[in-house]
Amino acid sequence: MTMQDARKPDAASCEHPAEAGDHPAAAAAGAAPGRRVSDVATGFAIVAMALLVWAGTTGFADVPAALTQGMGPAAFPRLVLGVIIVLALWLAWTASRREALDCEPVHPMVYATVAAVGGVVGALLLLGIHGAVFASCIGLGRLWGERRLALLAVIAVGISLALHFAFVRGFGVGLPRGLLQGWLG
Amino acid sequence: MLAYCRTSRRGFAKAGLGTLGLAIALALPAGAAHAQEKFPSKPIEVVTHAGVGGGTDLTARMMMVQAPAAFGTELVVANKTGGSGSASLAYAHSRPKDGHTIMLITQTHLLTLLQDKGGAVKMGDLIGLARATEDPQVLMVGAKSPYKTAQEFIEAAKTKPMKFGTTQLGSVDHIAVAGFAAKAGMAKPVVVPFRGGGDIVVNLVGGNLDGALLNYAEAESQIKANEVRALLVFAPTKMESLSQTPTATEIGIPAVYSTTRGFAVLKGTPEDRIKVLEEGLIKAMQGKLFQDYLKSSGQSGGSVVGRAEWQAQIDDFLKTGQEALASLGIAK
Amino acid sequence: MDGFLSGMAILADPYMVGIILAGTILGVIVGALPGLSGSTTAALLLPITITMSPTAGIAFLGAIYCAANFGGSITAILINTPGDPSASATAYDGYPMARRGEAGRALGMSTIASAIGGIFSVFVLIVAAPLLAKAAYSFGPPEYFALAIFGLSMLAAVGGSNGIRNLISGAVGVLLATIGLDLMTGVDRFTFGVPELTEGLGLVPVLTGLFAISELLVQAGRLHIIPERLGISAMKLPSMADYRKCAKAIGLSSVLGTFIGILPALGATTAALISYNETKRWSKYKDEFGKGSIEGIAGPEAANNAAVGGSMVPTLALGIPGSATTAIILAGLIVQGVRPGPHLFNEQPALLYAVFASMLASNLIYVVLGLFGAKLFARITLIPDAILWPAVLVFAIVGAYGPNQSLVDVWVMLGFGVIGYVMRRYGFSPAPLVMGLVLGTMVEETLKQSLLIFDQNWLMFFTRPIVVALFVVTALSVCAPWLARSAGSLWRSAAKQGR
Repeated sequence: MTMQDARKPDAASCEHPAEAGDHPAAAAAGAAPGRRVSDVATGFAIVAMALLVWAGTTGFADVPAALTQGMGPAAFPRLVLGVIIVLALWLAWTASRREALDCEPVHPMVYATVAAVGGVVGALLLLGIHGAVFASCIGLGRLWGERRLALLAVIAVGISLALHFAFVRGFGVGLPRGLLQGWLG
Repeated sequence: MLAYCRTSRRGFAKAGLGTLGLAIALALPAGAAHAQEKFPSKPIEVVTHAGVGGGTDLTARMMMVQAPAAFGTELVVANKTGGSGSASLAYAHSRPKDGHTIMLITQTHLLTLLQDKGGAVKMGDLIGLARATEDPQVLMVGAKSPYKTAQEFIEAAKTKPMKFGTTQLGSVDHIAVAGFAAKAGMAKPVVVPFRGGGDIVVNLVGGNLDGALLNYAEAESQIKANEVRALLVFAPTKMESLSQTPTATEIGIPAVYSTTRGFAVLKGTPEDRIKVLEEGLIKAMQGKLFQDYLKSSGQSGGSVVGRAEWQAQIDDFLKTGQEALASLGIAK
Repeated sequence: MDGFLSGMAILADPYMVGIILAGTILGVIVGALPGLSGSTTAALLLPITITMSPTAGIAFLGAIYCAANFGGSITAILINTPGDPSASATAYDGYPMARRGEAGRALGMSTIASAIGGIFSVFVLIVAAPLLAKAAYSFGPPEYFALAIFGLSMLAAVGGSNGIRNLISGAVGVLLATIGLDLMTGVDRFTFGVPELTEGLGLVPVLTGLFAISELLVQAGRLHIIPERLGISAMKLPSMADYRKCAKAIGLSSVLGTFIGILPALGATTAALISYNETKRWSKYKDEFGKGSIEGIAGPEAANNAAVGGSMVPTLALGIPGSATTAIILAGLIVQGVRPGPHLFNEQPALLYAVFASMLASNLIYVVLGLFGAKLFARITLIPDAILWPAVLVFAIVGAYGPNQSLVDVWVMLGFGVIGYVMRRYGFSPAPLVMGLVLGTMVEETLKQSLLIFDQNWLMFFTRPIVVALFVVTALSVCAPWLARSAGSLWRSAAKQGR
């Protein structure tokens, strides 16, 4: 039990090529040749999103004249959006000074995990927190390659009981009940 | 959750899993056989719009300390924050109307209903059970303020727009400020919104604001330290804790404003259960603990009143609040 | 001094020691659990404390408050899930350290730094509470605005190495802070008709999503990589060299955290974020930050615990609570018939000193718990990913749901998990976003409040001495690297000419 994996924790999935050298794990895995993402593209994507949000600010409800004093509700968000747009254009403008990001393709397991998390939330909505505990521990655990089902089930039961006694009995903090328990109750 | 708790507890007892299981089973309100007829037959949920630790949340929890004895069952708080009470109204509406869900409401809920933001809950749907707190608002100024009396303040305010600290626009204290200014013939005040009473007190002392309508408890230590002056009380009679301060009526301004909290259920709850709830709540709030809580926040024990009086107050507020909102220009 | 000694005497009473011990242990546990925070616990247990004597009740709440702030760092370090928002800055460097197999070192440093910050602030509280409390009155909206701008000025430095990306990330955080009801007009902004969003995004679900869920997805993408195994010492505690390295960070952050805590509008989270920046700025090893710098743990942890003592200053001396938890402690005092205020220091010194004693004791107790527990907790990093992360997902869900009992918060958390993943993929650090989100509301509201107070005249900002001083410090700190460079080149050219 004194072994530990040395995967780099906070390195982003995209690397500047210059930095990729010190990422032995990625090199060892022989990652598929990545897609180059230039900061020009990133910058303009951000500008596009900012403009979309700006459009959203035009839909704010009108303030009755009697209450109008000083800056309106949309003024500050627009100010911030303006700053974001300027910064994003700056990012695009200075892109040539940096090397493009080398993005390795998203691993299929990420999509599978997103789907599994969706399943856990489904269980949460339908069966409540205890359903979610089992879906997560057994479903996601299995997906991630843990084969000892009995072990996973024991852990799920343990967490379920711990949550119930710590939160519901101990502190009186409610946990999601789910539709089924709502109907039964 | 409730269903789950009960089955698991019964399971424990049957299996005879020692004293823990037994103790929990004994804590159950009644034998399962009579559960259908008896009320309350399971823990009562108190829905508030305040987050854990807010003033309204605390009021609920203070009431709950002595409530289990009055009801013979436990109570739990459900904090449904958001939408100036509309989230809590929506939640209460989604629960069965069997009396096991009660709400702790404030004027905020009523204002939300007045603006038709209550979702499925409409104006006439609230049935009052008992009032919990009735905290009069008090006109306060900082110690460095040139105004020593309410008359001086009002006189100066006729020409100079005063800067008032309030909580968010359209809130109860904002309506009170606007109403007070109109009734006293003051120039339209500048309203500076803050997150809470504590911030307003700091800015009164710091001289950033000309005045504010606050509850006594919010500024008690500053009043005692002569850093804040209370000029006018918006209560029908003088406050015990501010015996020197005149009421608005006494100086010829017919204005009464207070922060009010009370319990309510939604229409559709059986009449006999409303009665049980009203009696239980009043018994719990007449306990020493809640009375101490009232006293320490500068309120009288008379804050706790029964259904009839509380319902009349709700109805009255729904009537006058409509006009107030209209005068602010924010009624729908 | 007599009062202090008589206060200390409560520590000879086994009942009181038991109460403080129970409060401390409970505080560490709820602090570590996402979804239960010190303030929630204090609110839930308030009715119980009323049945105790005033001294015991307040000592109990004080112990919970001190210990919960430390507990939050445990989960932040071990699973990148801040158990309490104030521990979010601790996750920036604590989690990389744990991943590197140095969980024990990180936890040990967090324990010691927390305790030093906490004890320092209690002494400040004892010596200077009535004097310092007046500082709170000097801070109105314009001063808070200047302070928030000072905090935001460090955005470029808080995240990864790319300045523009950090600024964009921070600006997005400020933008996200505008979600919800506009305080000034009551208009809904970006709420899409969801009532739960009118109060704004909850900090807890956003943090949990950005840190824990995005890390879950990053780990999912790395499962196929056979990790390089190396012998490690996860249970090893910090060395003397570590403490020496962090001494400056701890000292600086203790002072900064206490000061920020004293200001009623600011709390432990802001204290930790600003101290993280300052620690980085004054460090000799700036490059290590964000990659597992031990100073990056010492700074924010000393600060957020120092903020505990700091926020008790206005609570006890002015009756104005500086944080959610002190609001509940205030309620606890009031219900016991004790009304805080300047007079409290003359009228009830015994009770006050009992509170101080319990806070000191709590800080000492969790040092023992923390150093002993560090070795134990560090084993969590050795649990296989396929078992650990599904459990983290469950606790993240509970953590997001708990405070407001809201499923919307669970969705917010999951959404920010995906956003955090995408951000990290394209080289944006989530850390500046958190900073922007925490300070954004304050920037907007204090700006608007200031302008109302100033009759919309912007120039009035420069009539307030504290504001001017803060603006000058901000300008200096932004220009410092550039000034240092030009001064350096000037010096060199002067030296050349002189030679």
